[in-house]
Amino acid sequence: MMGPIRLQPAAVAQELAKFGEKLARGAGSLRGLPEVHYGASDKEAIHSEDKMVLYRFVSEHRVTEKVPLLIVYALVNRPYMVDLQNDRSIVKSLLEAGHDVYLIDWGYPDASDRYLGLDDYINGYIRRCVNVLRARCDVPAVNLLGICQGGAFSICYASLYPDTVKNLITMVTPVDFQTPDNMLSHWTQGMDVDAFVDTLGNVPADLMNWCYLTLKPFRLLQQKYVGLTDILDSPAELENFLRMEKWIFDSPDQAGEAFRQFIKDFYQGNKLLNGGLEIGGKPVDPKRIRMPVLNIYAEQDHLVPPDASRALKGIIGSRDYTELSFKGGHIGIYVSGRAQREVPPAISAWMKQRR
Amino acid sequence: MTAKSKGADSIQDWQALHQQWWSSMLDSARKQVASAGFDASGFKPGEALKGFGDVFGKSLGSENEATVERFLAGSKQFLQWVEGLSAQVAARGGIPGKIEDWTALFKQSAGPMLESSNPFLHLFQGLSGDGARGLEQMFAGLPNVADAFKGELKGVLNTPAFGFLREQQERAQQLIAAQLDQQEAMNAYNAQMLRASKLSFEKLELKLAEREEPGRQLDSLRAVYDLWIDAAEEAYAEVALSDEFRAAYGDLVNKQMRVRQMFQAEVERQTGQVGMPTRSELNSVHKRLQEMRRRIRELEDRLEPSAATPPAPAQRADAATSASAAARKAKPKAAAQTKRSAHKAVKPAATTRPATAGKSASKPARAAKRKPAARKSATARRNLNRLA
Repeated sequence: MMGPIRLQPAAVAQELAKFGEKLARGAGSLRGLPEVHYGASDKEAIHSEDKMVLYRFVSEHRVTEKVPLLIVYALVNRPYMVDLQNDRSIVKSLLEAGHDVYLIDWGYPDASDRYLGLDDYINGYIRRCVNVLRARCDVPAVNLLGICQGGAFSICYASLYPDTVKNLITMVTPVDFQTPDNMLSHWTQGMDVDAFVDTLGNVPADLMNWCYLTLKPFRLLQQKYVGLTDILDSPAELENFLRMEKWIFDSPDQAGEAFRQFIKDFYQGNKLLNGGLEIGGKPVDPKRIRMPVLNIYAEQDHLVPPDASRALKGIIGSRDYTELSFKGGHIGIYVSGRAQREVPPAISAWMKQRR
Repeated sequence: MTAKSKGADSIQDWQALHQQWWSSMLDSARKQVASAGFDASGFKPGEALKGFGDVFGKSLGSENEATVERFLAGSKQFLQWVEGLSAQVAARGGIPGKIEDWTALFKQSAGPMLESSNPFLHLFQGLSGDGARGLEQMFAGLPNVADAFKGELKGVLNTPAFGFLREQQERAQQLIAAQLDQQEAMNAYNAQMLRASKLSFEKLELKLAEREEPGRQLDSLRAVYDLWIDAAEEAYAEVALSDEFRAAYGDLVNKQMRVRQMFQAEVERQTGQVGMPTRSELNSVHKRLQEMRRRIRELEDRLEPSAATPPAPAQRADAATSASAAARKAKPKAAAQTKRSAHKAVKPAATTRPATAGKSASKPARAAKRKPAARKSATARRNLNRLA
């Protein structure tokens, strides 16, 4: 039997020397890089309230689809992930396919937004954005694409106002918040969220980021950066890395009341799955979702495990339910090359079949 | 390959490697020092790692600073891992051949019994900067008065308070007691981390065993490092999903919140005495502000019913009974008006170009949308006047 590790001093010396060289060169590359830019598509603000802005993406292509598509992103990160750069943009692909695409940007809550609750977000902002689009496009209902936490919001919205949603698409959206592999959920179970929010007010973005990073601490805090030395020689790859890095750490604080309700009702109470959820006093009954539903999840998602997403099928009233699994992780589903080839075309085709 | 098979020469090779490694790092650091315009003559062997962080960090531009900071921290920890490993190999009498010898070597390079240098805690404490801060770091600025009250002094906390400063003394006692509780919770959390560290070596041993098969041997430091990371992540996930960890985590968060609340209360007391606005007062204002926003929107919905969504069947009755007679009276006119204003509101306001990264992205949008928002408010105001 041979030993498991066969390190030769000369080879190791060479490896380390190369590593040192890469670091030295990399310092130069990093120093020379300009600030990264994001966003592939032009967009115009068509409606706003408080810090929320509803954008319409300006298409260079002919809009062939009458029903607008409204993207509802999570509160915990910035929504430009859907339009990060030219070769990594779900929005760009959808525009090319003739869709009229809109996006809610929640902005950065500050202390004056501490008392924004889920009622304000769902019965307030989302509902009014949908109404703006219904009036603008002269349609009775819009297509709704909810992503991650925004997907959970979209499910709530579609349950409360089903007549205004023509098709519902959810991406990496948690429905069962207590699957055994959901580490984030596991950690929240012992938390006194009332004390947490009463003390902190808005939940600091840095703390949220830390929490996400500590889900896979060695990979996300260390190995990833050691791996960065491999691409330090490539300005294009480095730029992509920095752009992603910017996005990961560009997080808004969380409005205290919304956070409190989300943790209590969704994570601790698992009410979206088990029932009993109310938003602003209105009961959320997912059985009222009878419109077509496309549910997209990532097979290696450590934030929203596949089972957490797949649970949607069992709670809705729709007979037209489609699942699309993607071989990748929670972030890869927006930005990987495979995602660009697979996800937007699938969304577009699915919507076109349900005009 | 084992050192024993090659004898003393191999050990000398590793010792030479260790020296060469430091020299190489030192050269890199020197080059960076020189290119950044510093005097490099002060660098000595053995200070290369320290110099690496200082020099690379100092001379980089600020735009990508946070990423650079994390990159440096991650690379530095990798280099420390390499340093520990290579020092162990250089110091021992032979290069390990057996799995258990390798595991022992990994453990030794991590510190005695892992307690002095638990890789998990080390990782968490060493990697915090702009964009990510854990609960520990959030408390970094707060004085820990409990440090002075460990051991037998804890009894002092139970001393009855009396006299003019009675209440103040009681509060101080409560704060110190809460800090001691928090420390205990932190110790329990650290114990979970230690558990994860120990488990990671068991996982590593299993993974090394798989690599004994011909053709699967690891022949580079990066490959060994990656295997170690796999083992560490698996162990951590197992511990982090356990009931014990959940309890320790929840307890730590809750105890920290308790301490923070007490600090806040004390600050409120002090600032209130000198006439400064307090957090509670601001909360009160913000709460009222939010209630007002909701009321305004409710009124707008009533005044512009065509913009409001048709209520769900179950809610229709409620909505009908709660709608005021005045609002119902205003409905036909407002509806017509809304149709007009809705078309006005859709006029494109401004186009936002793909943005530069940063938090200023919403600024152009804010400026751009003032017009339709103002128009909408004017409509609402007109309708409100009519109702009045």
